Amino acid sequence: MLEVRGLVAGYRPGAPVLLGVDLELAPGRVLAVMGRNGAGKSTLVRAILGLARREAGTILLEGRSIAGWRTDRIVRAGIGLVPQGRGVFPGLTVEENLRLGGLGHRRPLPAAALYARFPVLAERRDRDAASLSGGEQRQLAIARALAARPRLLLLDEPSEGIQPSLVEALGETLAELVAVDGMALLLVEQSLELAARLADECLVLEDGREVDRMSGAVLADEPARIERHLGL
Amino acid sequence: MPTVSLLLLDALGQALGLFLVASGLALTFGLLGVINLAHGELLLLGAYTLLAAERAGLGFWAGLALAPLLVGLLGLALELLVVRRLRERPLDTLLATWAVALVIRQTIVALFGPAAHTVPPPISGSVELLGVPYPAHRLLVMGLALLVGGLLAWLLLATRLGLAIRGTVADRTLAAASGLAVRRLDATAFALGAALAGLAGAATAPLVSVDPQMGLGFLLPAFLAVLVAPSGGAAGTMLGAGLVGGGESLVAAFASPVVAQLAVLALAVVLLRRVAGRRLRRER
Repeated sequence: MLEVRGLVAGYRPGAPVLLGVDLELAPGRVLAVMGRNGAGKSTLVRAILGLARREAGTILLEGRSIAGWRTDRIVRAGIGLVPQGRGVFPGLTVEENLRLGGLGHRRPLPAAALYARFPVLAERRDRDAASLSGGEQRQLAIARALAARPRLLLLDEPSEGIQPSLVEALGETLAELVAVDGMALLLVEQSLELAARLADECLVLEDGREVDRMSGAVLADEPARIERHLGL
Repeated sequence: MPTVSLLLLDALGQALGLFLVASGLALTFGLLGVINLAHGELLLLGAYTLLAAERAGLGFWAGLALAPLLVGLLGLALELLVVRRLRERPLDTLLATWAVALVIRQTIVALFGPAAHTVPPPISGSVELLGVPYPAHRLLVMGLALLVGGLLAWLLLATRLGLAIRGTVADRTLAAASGLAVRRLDATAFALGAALAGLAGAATAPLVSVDPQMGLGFLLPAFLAVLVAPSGGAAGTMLGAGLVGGGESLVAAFASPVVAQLAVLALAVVLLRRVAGRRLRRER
């Protein structure tokens, strides 16, 4: 589904943050990307979506090169984003956020289907998205991304800043997307708990380069290995 | 009592006339954040389109329909060729649109001469309102402003395009990452803002002296109306235009037009200091 080879990318010409990253992700699989702050994890997500400057390397989505495409075209080709932070449109209601998620797409998922998956959003449908709690905003960000029926979802630190009990529920939701809908997930995380639960494979970045790669089973069974990379 | 009625109607007329001018700016400056110093000249082009239509024998109504169309197309070209390329450089946008304003003004001088022109109103006479006779064309402009306000509110709040524009304004990167073609939206909103300036120029032409400098006089109060507006939508701009336009009209009636213009200038200084201070704090 997604194949990245030798990706060099950053924000200013001649000052790349990623220094040659390779990855592959098949449908129904979860790849966790882990590493310390500044390792280049978010830049990897942004580069795939055309939001960071690509200097070298290839990015293929279902065999087609998407490098150089505009972000909206990449998203319409089947990639959804749940960005770091709030990930919602402030000043717009929950309902409007969901409608916006499907606006640029031919067959958006109806709001009713999204509310069925995230019932708390149905109760808050007329509220300003900015007034929701952190956990509710994260659910809205995921629901908004799902409105476009993506086949690949990029999640940038989805568990950041939300309560541990909500991380558990978030894990269930994401696991269902993979198991039931066959979606592929690229999960940028610092939380070992969520990554260990979902990942089939884990890529560890440091200073823009791959420094380790392990299976999901190793990530779950040998936490010391990833903790060493994260400095825990 | 007739004096009070006349004062109120004048203040309302001034406020609604200013809203008509500021509604385009509410889109380009209030929502997109583009400081377009050529907005006054887009209005000027609307007025001269009407003048040209009158001279060509097409009449007022054809001129009123042509003005937003032609000026909207010019606005589209301005966005694609100039504004888009300077999006992340507000100071350069300011200078470039000022240069465009100069080019438009000098082109008008070359084509129509530097002298002022008058355009006859399409409907003459007056209508009895609140116990006083009031010029029918002023009422027409007021009605047009209310219609534009209603359509703008409908566009922004009840259509897919409006939702997309509001989403892009709220978070541009997230809008693109949601699949919205943000550049196309920029161009559409800018062209629409220009079309509204053209419409405002044509509609107000019979009320003012049409000359190459007319855009300048509208620019500052229109920017002020958008700046004092509590929100970027149609209702907010209407309120901003009411405060600036209606306030200026009342101050002019009770003091003098010079004092009213000084008050507008003082308000501009205060607001610009506030906006600049906010921007500095954000950059820190």
